[in-house]
Amino acid sequence: MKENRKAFIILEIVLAAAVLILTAAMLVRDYQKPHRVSVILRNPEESQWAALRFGLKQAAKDRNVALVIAGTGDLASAEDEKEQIQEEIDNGAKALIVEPSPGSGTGAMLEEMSKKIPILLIESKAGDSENLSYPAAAEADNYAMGQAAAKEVLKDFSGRLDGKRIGILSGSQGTEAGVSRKQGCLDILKDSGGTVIWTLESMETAQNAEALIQEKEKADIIIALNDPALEAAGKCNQEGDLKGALLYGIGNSTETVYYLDQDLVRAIIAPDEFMIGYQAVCETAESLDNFFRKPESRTADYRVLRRDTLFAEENQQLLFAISQ
Amino acid sequence: MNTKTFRIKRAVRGKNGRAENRKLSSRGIQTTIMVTFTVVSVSIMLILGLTLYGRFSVLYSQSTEESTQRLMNQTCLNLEDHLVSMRRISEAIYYNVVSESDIHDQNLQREMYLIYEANKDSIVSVALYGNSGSLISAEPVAEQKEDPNVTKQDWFVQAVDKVENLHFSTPHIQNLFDDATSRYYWVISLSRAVEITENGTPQMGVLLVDMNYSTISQMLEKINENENGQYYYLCDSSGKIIYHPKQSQILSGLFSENSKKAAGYKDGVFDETFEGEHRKIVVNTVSYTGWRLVGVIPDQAFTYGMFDIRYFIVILLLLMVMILLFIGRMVSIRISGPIMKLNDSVRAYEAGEKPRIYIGGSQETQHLGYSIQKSYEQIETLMHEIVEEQNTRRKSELDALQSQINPHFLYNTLDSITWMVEDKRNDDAVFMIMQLANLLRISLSKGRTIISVGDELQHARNYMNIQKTRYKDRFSVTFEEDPAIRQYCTVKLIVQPLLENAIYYGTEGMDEDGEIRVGGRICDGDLFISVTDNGVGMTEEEVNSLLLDNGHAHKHGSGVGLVNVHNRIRLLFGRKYGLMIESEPDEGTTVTIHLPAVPYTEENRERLEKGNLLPAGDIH
Repeated sequence: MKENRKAFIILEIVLAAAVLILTAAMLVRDYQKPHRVSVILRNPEESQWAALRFGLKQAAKDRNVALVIAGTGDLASAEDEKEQIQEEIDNGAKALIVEPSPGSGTGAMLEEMSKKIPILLIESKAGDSENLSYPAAAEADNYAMGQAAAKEVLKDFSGRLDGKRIGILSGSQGTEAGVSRKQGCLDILKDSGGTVIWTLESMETAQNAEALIQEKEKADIIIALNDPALEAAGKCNQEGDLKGALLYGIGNSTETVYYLDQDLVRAIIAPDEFMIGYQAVCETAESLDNFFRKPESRTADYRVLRRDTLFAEENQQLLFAISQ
Repeated sequence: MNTKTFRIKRAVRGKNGRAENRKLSSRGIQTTIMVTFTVVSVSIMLILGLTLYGRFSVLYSQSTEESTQRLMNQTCLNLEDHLVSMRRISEAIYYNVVSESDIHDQNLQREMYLIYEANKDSIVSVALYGNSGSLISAEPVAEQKEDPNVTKQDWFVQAVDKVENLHFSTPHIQNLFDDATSRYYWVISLSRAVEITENGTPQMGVLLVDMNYSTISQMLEKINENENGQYYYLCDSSGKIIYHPKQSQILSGLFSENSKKAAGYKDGVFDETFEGEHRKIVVNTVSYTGWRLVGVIPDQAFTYGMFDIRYFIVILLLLMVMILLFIGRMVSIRISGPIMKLNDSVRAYEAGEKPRIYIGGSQETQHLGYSIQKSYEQIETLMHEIVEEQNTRRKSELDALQSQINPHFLYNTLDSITWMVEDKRNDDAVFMIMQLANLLRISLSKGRTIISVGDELQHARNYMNIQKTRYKDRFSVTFEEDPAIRQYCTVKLIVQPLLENAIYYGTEGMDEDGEIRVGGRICDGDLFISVTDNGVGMTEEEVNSLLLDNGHAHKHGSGVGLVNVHNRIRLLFGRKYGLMIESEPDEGTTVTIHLPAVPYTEENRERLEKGNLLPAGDIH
């Protein structure tokens, strides 16, 4: 009798517990909020990020992530960025996608912060990331893009640049991406016969950039290795300030595409920003879904745009993304 | 058989009963009722739950399909309305403006402007091109690009190819005008061949209305806000995507769509498996364009909607099982309670207690309890009667054994007294009569069976005195008992037969005088009385046969053999007690009486008389 009673009570308790667990699970599921992921970008509203933003948003929709795009100033330091990251963590971010600020100390800071929260870098690795295994980055192959820009120049000159004077608008401000692009470009140019007569690293604002370009010695070829630099150089060219130099570069905004369309830029190497943004969110979402998984580096493709093939079928997706 | 024996039997039966009960307890009535009730109820609940779930699933699937079709029909109507309005714009420009004006007429530009202004929310631009691709007029007024290569653009080619039709292109970046704001428009081009008049000469031209893609995409985005995995896309008749919620993912190769196959379907609902996933496809054709609006309902969409219902049904089932278990237990307790109480009272009875048999519960259980109670009462009565009968029979047997003494001995003694009187040995005769009187007094002992050892030994002395007179002192007798033993209980007349045997078998035929010694002692809580003679003795076989009750009469003695004494002791005190015989041929024989040492009190005597064996603890 007593054993029967005990078994009955245990069974009832087990069933009641199962009911409570299922009810709780149902309620939790109903009220479960999506993970909040914050993206820290420099000047996020700029048109160069249109495709990236589109990719981020599409992936956030696909992966049920609450995406917040936060901005930093034009020249954020590692310290500023740390504050920004902390603020996002305080605001409830479960993971971060961060464009690393230029300069030293960023890598160490990000590695330290990534112990608190999953962090994935975007567009570039940290400046001093060679000695760091983490954080990972979602980016295009910057070195290859630098090479591709130089190769496009060579194509227009039958593979030789003998006697040609080349100006390079790096605009890297010390970012790892800028350094890689420049290195890739120089590696192709070094045996081309051309001479790099100047390199412009820092361009704080568009106006500043245009003024700096105008001040430089006349070059036959100018290669701009990031979108703001190409945009500034394109504008200079539109205004006839490049003194006949042919302009090539890496860009991903409607402005740079417009300059290509207007034949002010000879060729654009356009990173697939949509894919970078999409992969960044997916990677972050994966690490949030799986506690033991850290975000891993992802590399997106790039396209070479020329005026005659700008509106070709294969480039429509790229144009669609950057015109969002 | 006494009460104790009966209890032992009941206890044995109780053991068997418990073994049976153990078997029963593993499948007790309460458990059986509860398990049966629960299994049946839960099975019914499960069947009901599964049936309900199945029915819900079917209804949900049907409902999802129907709502998808309704939504798609409505969206198709909206799309058609939009496309019709675009056609009307095109027709209005053609029939009201282009065909009525010369291309150099200022009116042409003004009328086009008015139409554009009225519809600029849904169109990006309107433009009229000459047969060679030269721009005649455009609204909003914009500078044409240096070399847009108009004649090679799809919309121009199609319009020129099939002049009688209106052509809707797939979405593309407009590549016609120079927009100083660096904006690029994603448009759907509606083109048609038109007849234009230049300086009175009719010519072929192409009228282009570039529709704002966002109007259509917003229309479809509104219906693509499901979270259950269901989505809608638009493709042309060749399967080329016009709108898809994952358009960029498709173009980037991150996602793929089976649009080419869907474009081949007629309107309706179809099942298909794409990339290993089963899904339902709902297809609607948009008029005027041949575009297909496709609704995709993956299986996941059905399960998504059913997820809460699944949870709900499982929770409901668990709650029902809990309630049914409770009801089952209550019902089983209600039914089995009286039976279990009855069972408990029967078990207690079997364990030797004397509880009142439970009579209660339902009418049937009451009847059962009443019958068992009655049966036990009858059994008790019968057992009591049997015990009484056994006691009476045993007493009768004892009495019969004792009564065997009298005739033989009396005859011989009286015969001796007669001889003494005849020989004028009056003193001897008086002595003999006194001894006989004393002997008879103790023999009778007021009808008691149990007397003190002292009386028994006195009886033995009287007897020996008579026998010594009869046998003219041919033997001597010595009483060497411990005086302490005299106040213990014994069955009467058990020493005298031993003495008689000692006289007849021990000393008869001997050349010298026989010696008989009577001893008595207490050893280890038991009483021992021995009779020893120095007679001819016996062989071991003879000793062994002496205590066998084989019904053979002994050739000498009073007729009360050792067997009788042995049986009497065992009947009264138990099988542990009786006689022990030791004998050696030509050496003599010792017969020892082994009795429990029960102090001679009135209480002990009465209990022994009633045939109750005295446990060791009760001896006082």
